Amino acid sequence: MIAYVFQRLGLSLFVLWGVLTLSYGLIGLAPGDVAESLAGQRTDAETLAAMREKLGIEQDPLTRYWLYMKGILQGDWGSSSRYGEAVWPLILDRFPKTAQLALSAILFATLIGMALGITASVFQGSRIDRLITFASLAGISSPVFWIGLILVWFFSLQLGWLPPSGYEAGDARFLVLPAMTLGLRSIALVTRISRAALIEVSSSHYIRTAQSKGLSPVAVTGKHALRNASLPILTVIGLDLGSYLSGSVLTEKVFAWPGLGRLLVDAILARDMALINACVVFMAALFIVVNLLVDICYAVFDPRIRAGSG
Amino acid sequence: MQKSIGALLLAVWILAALFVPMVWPRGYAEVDYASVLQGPSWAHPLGTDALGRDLFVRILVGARVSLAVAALSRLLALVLGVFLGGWAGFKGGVVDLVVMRLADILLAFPTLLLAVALVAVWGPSLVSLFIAIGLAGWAEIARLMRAQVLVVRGLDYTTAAMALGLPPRQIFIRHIMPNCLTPVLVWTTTGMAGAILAESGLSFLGLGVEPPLPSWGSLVAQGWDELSRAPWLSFFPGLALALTVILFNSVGDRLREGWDPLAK
Repeated sequence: MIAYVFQRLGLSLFVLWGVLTLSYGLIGLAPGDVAESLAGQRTDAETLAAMREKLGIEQDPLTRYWLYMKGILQGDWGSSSRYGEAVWPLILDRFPKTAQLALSAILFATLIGMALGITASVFQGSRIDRLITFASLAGISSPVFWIGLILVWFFSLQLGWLPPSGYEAGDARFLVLPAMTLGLRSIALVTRISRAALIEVSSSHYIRTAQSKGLSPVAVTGKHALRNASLPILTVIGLDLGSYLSGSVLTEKVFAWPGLGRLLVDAILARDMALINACVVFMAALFIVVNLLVDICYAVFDPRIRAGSG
Repeated sequence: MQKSIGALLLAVWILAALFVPMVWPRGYAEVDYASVLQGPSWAHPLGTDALGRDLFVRILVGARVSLAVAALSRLLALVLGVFLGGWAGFKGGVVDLVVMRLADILLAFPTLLLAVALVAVWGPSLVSLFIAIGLAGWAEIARLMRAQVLVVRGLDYTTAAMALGLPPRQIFIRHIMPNCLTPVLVWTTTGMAGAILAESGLSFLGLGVEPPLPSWGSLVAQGWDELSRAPWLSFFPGLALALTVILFNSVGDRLREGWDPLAK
């Protein structure tokens, strides 16, 4: 198990290097003068030349890449051209806001999604089941920005209950609509997966045994079925959490939420190279860590996998 | 839901997007300052925008843009995925290692952000949009294709073809690939829904088509500014988008049931 985790971590370092190189290469492909976009538009020729010197622009691309990577290995990720600060404090300032939004959305989605999924599977084939199944299909299919807009229109413009957008530390009212918007797709996914997993599990022998020894339906579902159906549900929640933690560009844009996704999009639009690279690597690292945690959870929840992974 | 009703509705919808704008009395870019921000009426079934343009015809033209970008990007993902994944599975060794690690890297790269980066580099246009979404999608198809090839490569008829001394390229194209394609094609179709959503997201962010050409995402974004005065401007394009994706998802579910007995 531990050897497996280390092997995965080693592979992750390789993937992170690839992500960084891909990001570096993509921005390098962009037309225009990197030194100019880094230094800002109103700079004199001297500063520009110094910037070129520092970047090693006069050298060939490979040497430049090598110098950049050497800097990274020494912990020098450069500073943002847009904010004029080191990149990591910028990212670490945004991350808690993104995490707050992601965790609220996932919590909300897990509770409601599982409740709906369990209801649908218990009443399989009934009208309630069909209604929930269709609603979850609609939820998966609706674009986030559209859901966000409907929620804003209803709760902010018509009812005036909640602020339409923005962020204020410590004020939960700003969190409600973005979290609902972001969580809706996950509700739908969790509903679908938990329904399918519970239905699949319900035909297995141990469920029939549990039923025939006279356990109440609540005990059968809660203790036996749910535990065995938990793996696919956990996968969906884990993967969604992973993608939300790296910032949800659309939701953050709609609600003017100062998270990671917007930081990256703004950085891309401003060609803020150092910030883009650091953001992308940070997001990929989060994605990898969450994937790894999901896999470790598998082993914890299901002893058979623990035995298999060796 | 009846078995083929989804596919039927989808066909009707695509045909409408193709042909109705041709006969509709108003063009999609036709400005009319006399009828600005009107609600739904007989002349304008879904109302008009801030420039007096007819929303109904703009949604239909937007459907062309969104569907074309989605379909082309799936095609690109399919071609790349089948050849790279198939090659990796067939060759094994170093090729397999390199291609699959490349796929890992792309899967760890946030999809929408890859697209944002590519569009930002090449400038917003239909072409960069479809290439971006296609490039983001090939890794999953390649994984599936590789898994299929690994199965088929071990089957008797492949061994027979090898024993006959056929050149590897011919074995791959004539014997292995056709037997791997069914699940890959199904998966590609299922991905249409995701591709449409990706396109709309990029258009919403302003990285999609150039105005006045509409796309569903940019229509929703334009309606956003008028949300308090004319909520229908955002509501209807989003509804068209959601309904289309629902149809693609339900057709995809049907197709998957046919291929994968585990999908319920």
